Amino acid sequence: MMETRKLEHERRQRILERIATLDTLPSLPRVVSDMLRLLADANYNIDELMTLVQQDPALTARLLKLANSAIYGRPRQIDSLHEAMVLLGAKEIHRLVTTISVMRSFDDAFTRGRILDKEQFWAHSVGTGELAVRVAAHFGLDFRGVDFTAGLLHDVGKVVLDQHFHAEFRDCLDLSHRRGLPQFEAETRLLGLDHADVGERLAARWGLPDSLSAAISQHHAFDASHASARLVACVRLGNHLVKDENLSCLGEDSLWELELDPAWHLLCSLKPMLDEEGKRELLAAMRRDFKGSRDRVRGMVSEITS
Amino acid sequence: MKSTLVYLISSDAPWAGHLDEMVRDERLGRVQLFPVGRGALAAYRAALPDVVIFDLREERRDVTVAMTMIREIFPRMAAGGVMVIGSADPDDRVALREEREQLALIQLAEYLPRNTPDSFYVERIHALQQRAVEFRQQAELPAGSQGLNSTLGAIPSATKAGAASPEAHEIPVPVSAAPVKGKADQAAPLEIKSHVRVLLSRPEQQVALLEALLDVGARPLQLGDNGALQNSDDDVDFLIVDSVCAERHAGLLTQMRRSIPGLRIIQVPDEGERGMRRLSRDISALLATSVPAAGPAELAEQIRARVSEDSPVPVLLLVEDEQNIRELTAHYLLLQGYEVHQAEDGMEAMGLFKVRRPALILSDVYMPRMNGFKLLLEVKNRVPELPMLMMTGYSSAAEVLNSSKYRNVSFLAKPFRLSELGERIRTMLGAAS
Repeated sequence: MMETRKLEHERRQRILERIATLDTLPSLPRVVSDMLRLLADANYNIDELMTLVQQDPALTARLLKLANSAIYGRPRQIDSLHEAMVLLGAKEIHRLVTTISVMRSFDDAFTRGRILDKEQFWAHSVGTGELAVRVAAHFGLDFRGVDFTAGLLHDVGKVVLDQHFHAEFRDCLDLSHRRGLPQFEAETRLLGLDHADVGERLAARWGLPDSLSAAISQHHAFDASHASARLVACVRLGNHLVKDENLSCLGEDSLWELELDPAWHLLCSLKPMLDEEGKRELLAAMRRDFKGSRDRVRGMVSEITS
Repeated sequence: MKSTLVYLISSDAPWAGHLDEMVRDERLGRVQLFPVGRGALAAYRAALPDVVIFDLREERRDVTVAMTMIREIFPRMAAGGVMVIGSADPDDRVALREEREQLALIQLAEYLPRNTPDSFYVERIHALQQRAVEFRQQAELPAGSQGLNSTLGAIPSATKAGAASPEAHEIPVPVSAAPVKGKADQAAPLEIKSHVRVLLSRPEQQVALLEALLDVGARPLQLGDNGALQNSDDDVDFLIVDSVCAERHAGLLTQMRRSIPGLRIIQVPDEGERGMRRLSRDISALLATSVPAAGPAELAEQIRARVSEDSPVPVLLLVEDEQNIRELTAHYLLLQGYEVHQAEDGMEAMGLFKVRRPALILSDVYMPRMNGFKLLLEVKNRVPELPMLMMTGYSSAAEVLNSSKYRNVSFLAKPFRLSELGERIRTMLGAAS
């Protein structure tokens, strides 16, 4: 067993070293972190948000195209960013801008990868982000856009593994199917690290804030005592619920009932008055809440990839 | 002198052939190779070799299975020795040393690099074989000379100094007879002073009984049907025989009764596996209650009484996708007197659950098709109070299980000791009843 651990450690080091020397890793558009910085300020100004987006004309064009697509079903044409901002709201604009920019910067990565399906991957990621936000709202929490961004980015480690280590990644997938192991456990066993660890490296490379980095690195290895545990819990539960809504990354089911999850226990402890019946109702409400969003998420992703 | 058997549990066939030639040249026995895992344990039980060599160098994948086997086998080695060849990795040494300190009978553990010369192995095997021969000679001293008694009651263990120095390439020679740890310790007051012969009609039953007899500290002689009756001058106190055999070999039995004064023949009903399990369990049960110095006659009475007593056998459902672990665990539980049904995933388990109505379910967590969490949910929806013992080596699963909302769900970390598993099951069943 000790020997196994040592081998795992060696493999881990080998992969991390290779990742450190890769020069084709996706970069994170500046607008993503700039927007988060802006949203973090409780008194931010809509104009400031607009200025940020307008700096990138291609981004603005895509945003308007999306705002006018069937997803939102607006009766009238939206012609300007200002109009979109007013009609869709700053939070929605933030989500769209983040999604468009992140997806764009990963385009290359997907042409090299072999296993992940681009649309399925992003639908899972966007869905996780949206659900993380909803979970947070149900517990009276507001992470000012970090929750959505974290959900969107939580699995990016998989893209890097698929892109640069696809033989190994394929083996992990096989092992996971054969033995009924969660994907991340199969990765740990064969590679000595999992996609969350790889995501953490990317987060460090991109200079993301600690909370966002924790949400990526701990979405499987949950630590209830971490400073950002509540945020991580929302992303973890978002990731869980989205699988129940048939939006998984690789066609996998959720492994256990959500009520068994330590992240659920942590969030429920924020509402001490909540009894078992109340918890059941809350969970049902969250699921109901997301039901209609599934098609919207799929539509949005396919609109952006087209 | 009988020839000695060396069992090599390894996957290195060319090396085994090589060793066999070397050892045979020295006329000290022969080497039989068994791959780690399935079959090796059963083969060991059937033959009880003098020396067992575990080769863990190339078996990283199966190290858990190998460790479990070591735990199973070492306490039963009454003579000879065990050689563990681990890697030269210091972490491995620590793991094996911890293992060894808990097992009194490990005579020798070596940690050798891949390129160790053959002569080294041959030398070590010879030394272990030599000791096996000495043990046997000691055991075969005429009755009344204390020879067998002291061998059974107090098998010399590795000396403390030997156990503490795994790097030492010398074989520790037992300097004083110390009592054996564990079950054999409890066996001492029973004073089973000689051989219990096993004569049964079905070989798979013999293995179960053999295990139980070894646990008691008895020394089963030869397995097989009438082969066991060939040397009637052996020192034999008991003969356990099932009704089918008794009929078939009525003449031989009469002959034995005449030629061996004081021989107790215990006839057991031919009840198949279930009866055998009960008998096996009762032998251990006699030990556990540590009956003070029961003589052979009383012991025979007690065994007879318990065998005929019809106590219900708890039914267990064991769910595990890894065949090695499942079979080993099932075998152990059978010996503990349970009725065990095996399933390789949650789906199969649900089918069995409905038909067999188990008293307790033991389940692995991550399995294909239907995992342990889903099984837990399905079972608890039907029978909320049913005790379930979940076993996993994955921290992600343990974390979730520890926050389980269900009653009567307990969690056991893999790898575990079989004795630990047995203890947990007893506790859970005790609490449930």
